[in-house]
Amino acid sequence: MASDAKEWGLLAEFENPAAIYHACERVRDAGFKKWDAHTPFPVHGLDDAMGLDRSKLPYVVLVMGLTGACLAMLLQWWVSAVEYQMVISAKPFFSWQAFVPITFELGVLFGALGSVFGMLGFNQLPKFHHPLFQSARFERVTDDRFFISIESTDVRYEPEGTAQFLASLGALAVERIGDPNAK
Amino acid sequence: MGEHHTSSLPTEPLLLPENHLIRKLPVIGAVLAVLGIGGALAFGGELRAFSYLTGYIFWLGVALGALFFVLVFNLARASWNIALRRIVENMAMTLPMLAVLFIPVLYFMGDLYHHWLHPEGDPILEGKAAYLNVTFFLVRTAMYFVFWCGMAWFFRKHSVDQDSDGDRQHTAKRQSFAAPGIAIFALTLTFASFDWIMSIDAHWFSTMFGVYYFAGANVAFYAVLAVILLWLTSTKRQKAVGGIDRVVSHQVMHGIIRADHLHDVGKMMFGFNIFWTYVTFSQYFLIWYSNIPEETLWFAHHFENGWETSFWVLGFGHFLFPFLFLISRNVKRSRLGLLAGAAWLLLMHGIDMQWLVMPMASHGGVHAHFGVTTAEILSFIGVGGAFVGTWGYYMCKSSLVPIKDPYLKESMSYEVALS
Repeated sequence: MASDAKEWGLLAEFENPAAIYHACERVRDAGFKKWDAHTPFPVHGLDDAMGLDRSKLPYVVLVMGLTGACLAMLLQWWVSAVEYQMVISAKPFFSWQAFVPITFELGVLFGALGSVFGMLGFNQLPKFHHPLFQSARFERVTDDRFFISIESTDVRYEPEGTAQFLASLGALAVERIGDPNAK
Repeated sequence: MGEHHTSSLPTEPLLLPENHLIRKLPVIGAVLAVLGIGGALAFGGELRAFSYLTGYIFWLGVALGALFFVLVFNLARASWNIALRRIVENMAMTLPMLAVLFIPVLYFMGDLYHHWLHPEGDPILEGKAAYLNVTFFLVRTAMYFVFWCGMAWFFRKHSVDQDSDGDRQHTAKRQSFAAPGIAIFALTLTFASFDWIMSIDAHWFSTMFGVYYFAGANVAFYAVLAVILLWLTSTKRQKAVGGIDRVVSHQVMHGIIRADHLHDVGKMMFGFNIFWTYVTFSQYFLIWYSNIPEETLWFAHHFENGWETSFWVLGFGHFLFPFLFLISRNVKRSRLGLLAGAAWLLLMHGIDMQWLVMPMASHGGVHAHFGVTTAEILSFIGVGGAFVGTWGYYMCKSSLVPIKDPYLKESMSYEVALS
């Protein structure tokens, strides 16, 4: 169970979408959590084959959007009805109708910002480098090869056992990826 | 790759089973139409003209929403909708029936449009007489129906014909005609809503009125479509001895239209509902802000006799509650959630159509207070019966899915990405 501290994890190469699809099902069923699939294009149904949970991003967007809308309404109320009262075309100081466009726009703006930065945050982006980029084999991920990577920090990870497991899934090759930060 | 979703591609025309309820709909619909419309017109009292128009524009909107669905997804060359497109094409084929059902509106023109029918002495209406006069009104009405019926017929013909010959030219023809079709649709729908609904108060005008009707009509269309699809994909389950439910029978579209299609119908309904809110608020907002009597008078009329209640019911019931309810992916993908959202929005669309028409009845000397008249309910059932019956008639006449459409396989394996 003790994983080698200098090892980031394992990279397995697959030839086609069908191979990686079935391999993902096996990795999922083996109970691994810290792993990922890398493909040159979206493979239909891979989310289910990997057993991925729903993204938490929508909740970030919802909270941010509501925050933006509330802030906008609060700001306009404070400016128009409290701090600097001014009569505009004989309408009440707090005219909610007039505040709706800004409320809507700020809700959309905060929601959009939450969506972009939340996505970057969940993906741990931006980053300058990734251990997988050490592999020359991995360059074909943007072209015609399909990969599964399993990190050594996964509780089910065993340096030898996991490598054999990946090979048994029909991988063309299994490569050990060192941890560049461990030196 | 998507093996878990594979359902066999139908090669034979998929027809309704014998004794299916839809096969009886033409008769049931005809009975409802005769009783409903007949009852509304015979015993509807002084408010029958306005009540009939309310029921009529509700169902007209559903049919126009169906025509727009066919137009816009042909134009976009979308494939997700192919599996359910025939059902929608059949809904658009109710437009010829709705053209016939426009006759009572013509008969009641004197009640509905008395403002502009007698413009004498009113400088504003005299100025509008070049557009708002009986002859031109009839010519325009005829033109709207010719275009709508022609388009509904054209798109269904080039879809049904493909079932037998499988010729890709049909797809090409539909797609190339969809572009001018959208333009024709936008103009005819806008001016029809001006002529038939907005001109009840002929002094008032709003350039957004056509979009307002269009947005609400689409919400109602997607709600009706959701109810139909939920019905046609439903299963009958039986409690087995072991405690696990077993599917004993299922409806005709089960396995062809899947949760992903229903999810998309829910998303379109949700999206158009936000669009409706956007348009509705914008129309109100600009009039509220500029505060010019010739514009605000319309809202004054729609805030009398208790009708201000409808305004608030629509604000919360048509926008806020459905927004909070349907925003969740889980609700849109749940059969019960989608059904509840669709049924609620249909009720709200009914209140919206009523709010557009009924408050104006008071300006013909008849007082229409907030509430529902028997004539409105009878009109809704009557025109609805004619709509459902006509739809059922066309559902019996051809395959329920366009079996030789080149994109049917793509549509049936369609998947909404996990988000």
